[in-house]
Amino acid sequence: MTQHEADGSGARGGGDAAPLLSVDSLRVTYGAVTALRGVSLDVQQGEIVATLGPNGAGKTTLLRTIAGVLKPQAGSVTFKGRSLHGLAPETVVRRGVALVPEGRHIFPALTVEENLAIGGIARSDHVELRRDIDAWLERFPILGERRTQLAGTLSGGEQQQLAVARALMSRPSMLLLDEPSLGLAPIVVDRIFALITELRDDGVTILLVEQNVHRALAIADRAYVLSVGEVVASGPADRLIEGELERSYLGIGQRG
Amino acid sequence: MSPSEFVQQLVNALSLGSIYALLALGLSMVYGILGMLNFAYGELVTIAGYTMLFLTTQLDAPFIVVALGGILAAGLASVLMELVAFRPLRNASFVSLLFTSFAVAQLIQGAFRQAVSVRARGVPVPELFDEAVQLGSIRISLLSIITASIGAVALVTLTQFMKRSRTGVSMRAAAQDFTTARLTGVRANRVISLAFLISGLLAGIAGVLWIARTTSVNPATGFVPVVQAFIASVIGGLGNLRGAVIGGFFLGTLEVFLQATLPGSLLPYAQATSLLIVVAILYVRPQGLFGQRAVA
Amino acid sequence: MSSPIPILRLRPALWGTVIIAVLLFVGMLAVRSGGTASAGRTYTVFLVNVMLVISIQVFIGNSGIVSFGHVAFMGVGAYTTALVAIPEALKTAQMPDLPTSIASLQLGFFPALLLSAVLAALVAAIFGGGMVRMTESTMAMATLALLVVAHTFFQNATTFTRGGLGLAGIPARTSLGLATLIAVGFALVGRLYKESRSGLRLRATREDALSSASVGTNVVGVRYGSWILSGALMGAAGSVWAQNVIAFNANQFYFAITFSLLAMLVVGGRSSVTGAVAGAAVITFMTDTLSRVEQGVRIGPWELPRITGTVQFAIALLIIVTLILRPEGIFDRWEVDDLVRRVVDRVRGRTRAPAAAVPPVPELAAVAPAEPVAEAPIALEGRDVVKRFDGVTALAGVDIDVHDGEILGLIGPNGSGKTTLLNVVSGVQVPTGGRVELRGEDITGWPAHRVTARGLSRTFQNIRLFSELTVRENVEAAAPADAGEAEVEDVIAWFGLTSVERQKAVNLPYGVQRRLEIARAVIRRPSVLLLDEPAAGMNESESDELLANIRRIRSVVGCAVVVVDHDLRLIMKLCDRIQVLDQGRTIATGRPDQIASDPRVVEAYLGAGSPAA
Repeated sequence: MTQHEADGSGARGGGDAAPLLSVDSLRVTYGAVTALRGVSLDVQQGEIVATLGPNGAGKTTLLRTIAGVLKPQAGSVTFKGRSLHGLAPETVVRRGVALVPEGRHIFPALTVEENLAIGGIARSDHVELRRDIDAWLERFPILGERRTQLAGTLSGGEQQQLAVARALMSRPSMLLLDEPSLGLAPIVVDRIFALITELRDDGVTILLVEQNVHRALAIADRAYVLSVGEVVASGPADRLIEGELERSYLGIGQRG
Repeated sequence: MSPSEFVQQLVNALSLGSIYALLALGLSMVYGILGMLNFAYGELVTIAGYTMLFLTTQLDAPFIVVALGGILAAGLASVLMELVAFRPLRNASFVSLLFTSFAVAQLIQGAFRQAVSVRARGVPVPELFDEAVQLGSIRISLLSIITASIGAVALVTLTQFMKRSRTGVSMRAAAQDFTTARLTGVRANRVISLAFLISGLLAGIAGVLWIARTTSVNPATGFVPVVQAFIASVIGGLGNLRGAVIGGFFLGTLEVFLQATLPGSLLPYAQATSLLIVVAILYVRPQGLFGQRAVA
Repeated sequence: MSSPIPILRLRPALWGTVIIAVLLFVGMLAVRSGGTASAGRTYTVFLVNVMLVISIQVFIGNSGIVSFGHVAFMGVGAYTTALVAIPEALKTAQMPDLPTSIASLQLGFFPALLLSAVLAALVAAIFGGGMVRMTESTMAMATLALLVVAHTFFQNATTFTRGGLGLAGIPARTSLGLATLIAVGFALVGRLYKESRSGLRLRATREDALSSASVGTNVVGVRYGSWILSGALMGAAGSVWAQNVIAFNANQFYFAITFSLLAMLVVGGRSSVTGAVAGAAVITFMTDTLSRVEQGVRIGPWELPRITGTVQFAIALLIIVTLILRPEGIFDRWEVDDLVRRVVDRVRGRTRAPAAAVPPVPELAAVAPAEPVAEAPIALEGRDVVKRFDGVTALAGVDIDVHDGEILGLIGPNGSGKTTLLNVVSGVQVPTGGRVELRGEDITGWPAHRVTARGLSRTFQNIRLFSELTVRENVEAAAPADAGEAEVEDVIAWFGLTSVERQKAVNLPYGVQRRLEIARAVIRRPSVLLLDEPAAGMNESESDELLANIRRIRSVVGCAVVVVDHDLRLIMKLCDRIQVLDQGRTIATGRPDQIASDPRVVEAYLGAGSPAA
């Protein structure tokens, strides 16, 4: 039910294959705020890449720019070798990049099923679409129970599951996840993160923005750390856990 | 009021109310998706009227063709209006769009004044509409029944469309959260054009029903029912489709019953009184019956 | 400290009005000596239009809300004047059922004008009370209703108005000279209001209603005042109009004239008195010229046919073109004296300070860290504060105590409820449960402007400055009623903003905008200052500077400070005490060293299973 890349490059985390997503020197301002000051990163096909950093670092701006909601002043975004520059969000999703926005943003006055249906609005294969909807309702029994309920009445965790399922309805090659654990209880976060790992195993490449550092590093292959609009650290996830990350951006253990 | 009179007035109320409901719905639909109040909406009713005039007098077409022609003309004009006048100002402020639509309304009115006549022109309608149905002691005008029925059919059809069809669901999604809808693949321009098309068709249907009642058209025809429609959509809470329909019926009922119960000397104030009552409601509940309360 | 002044920019206002007066008088003299009688009539029509447009502009320009109903007040004024100015015999002939008290009443020009203004103000007061509480779009619709209701009344109250037949015989007392004088008077009033404290506060609500409430403005109140003043002016203008046209009927107070007047505002400049005058000039001239064309005119060998509605066409096209090319109108928000000053500056070679130059924070004496203030009285107290909305529990019963003079840090992961707590305490949101006390006074559920008036001010996470107002105007709009010019200048200097005083807030660099936001909160002389993510987007050296500033504010202003931020390095260095929220509850309070080593805090931030936990 998810798209598996047909070009055969199942390599993870580096190698000589061209990256699935490539962001180069991205600069984004709105009003007087320079949210991104020349950010570059890569995501290889099949990876989970985490983007960490304190609030205001520019993580959400990065995802929104890739998805086409914001337009960069400079720099480029390349996906599967083609530029995403200047494309409308509805076009970006048709190229295979789906965003699950921060705060979930499910459609509160539509039912769970309708939310899923909207996720697949760009698709023309109606029969397959119907099957996908049923499959997701089965994979998330809670959603299946509430299929005709208005999405606004769901709990935070349920809405998060719905938002992810909705994004996956478009069968994207790449999923952008903005703070999926936000405001959720730990046990719910467990399930969401387990889901993310499952999705990667199904062949979906994932770029994840998270505040919950430890959890993000536990499932990610590589991570980038953003601060005030710049990449200040990057590397394989296991190497970033120790000391430096905490010291450099959490400030814990420091007294002035 | 005797029971038979009451039933007559009730049918009148449903009839007038459905016209207002259709118009209020069209207004609210565009507001919900774009956040703009289209002051030129009334002109679509006028366009429907003049199209009907043209088709009857110049082409001598049967009424069903005349009616369909009017409806389609309004729908088309609505889409053109958006493409030409509002799309260049897509990101302008609420006030700018309001003023622009005000100007467009004047342009269209002026065009009709020039192209046809300042004076009203009669629009021939089937004699059928003058007849009445007798149920015991109750005498109900056939036109009222037809209007109420067509209004109901249109509203039900639209509701089903919005509920069941993929396009309808995308429009509802776009009205709730435009940016997120685009993120799932809903095409912005297409949804907006569609909203204008549908609201134009609604105005066309309302226009045909209105002309059938008044049997004449003049450059300012659309203005009278549309002011009522504006107020009706506000009572229901701007952007709320169900509220718009309820608001339309509420205002229609209010107007009809005021007209039936006010003493002769106060009769000309029926419309004004209904407006005052609505403003009073808004005083108590500024967001309308179903609207969202504003912050601060 | 200088005495508080009601009119903030008095001299520019007077200069601007003088320039307009000169222009209008010169025009009048030119027309009187050189022009035809019809030119004189047109000029008078222009002057009356100036009065009408300025009246509307007082409300629309300052509040940003569109009103379609002002012609109702014009009608009230016109009919009032007609009823007291038409000679008695003519009056009783036209309206036989008129009560004798009115029939025998005869008033002169100015008494009639005054009465018209008063009655129009009364009508505005009655109908406005409910309207100003509505949202922008709802109020626009309500004013539409007002227009229709007024029109219906004028048409049907035939005893007093003769409806569509109209009234005639009003003495033609609006002479060219008198009209010029009165038009200047309107320009003066309009300009003085704009530059007054109320006018400035109202203009601030147009930029950001939420933050203007948070700097102490009663949004509804200030809108209401403007609405009534505007109604009174419109009634007066209607009186002058009536004494110029000498005959009119009820059909005139409807959409045609509303359209014309709004066109003048849109074309000339909604937010500027100069714009109103310019717009009136453009549209009056266009209307006059095109009316002739409409009749069919000869241009050389060609005879143009009658085109009805040419005027309306042209005006409508002009509106659309203006909105596309220059949405704020010809003059935008500029007044004529602003433009003169720019020209003079350029001539003298004085260029504006480049916006890129960031004004430094002045070197002030370093402030020693304050002694622990645990025993100081409690400035702000929250008990068991609960906030639920849309099924989400943002705050599940939070206690907070802020002592006089202390700097309290409020931290926690995203979604923990920090901003919601600030919102509830500052009156931006109403708590679902619990109590909030400021200096012992129960302020639970109070609206933001009342809380601010009591001594609590705040900044916002997403900067909410009054974008189109200058730095100085931002501070003035926040200043308490008894603050004088000197105090405003002091605060501006203290924050190092003097060199950019005249710049629009929207053009400032990000860091300077943040500084301005804090300056705006500080001029309120708060006893408690809430800062919501003041360090967002700052690098290390910028946040060190911020730290020093916050300490200075605490010492000089003597207030308690609550700081919400994600920059934990800053929080640890700056705060006397720290309170940690997670999922709507307090999980720890204490000194920075205690918090830094608290395993629950580390877990909340990094997630369970972190090696540091």
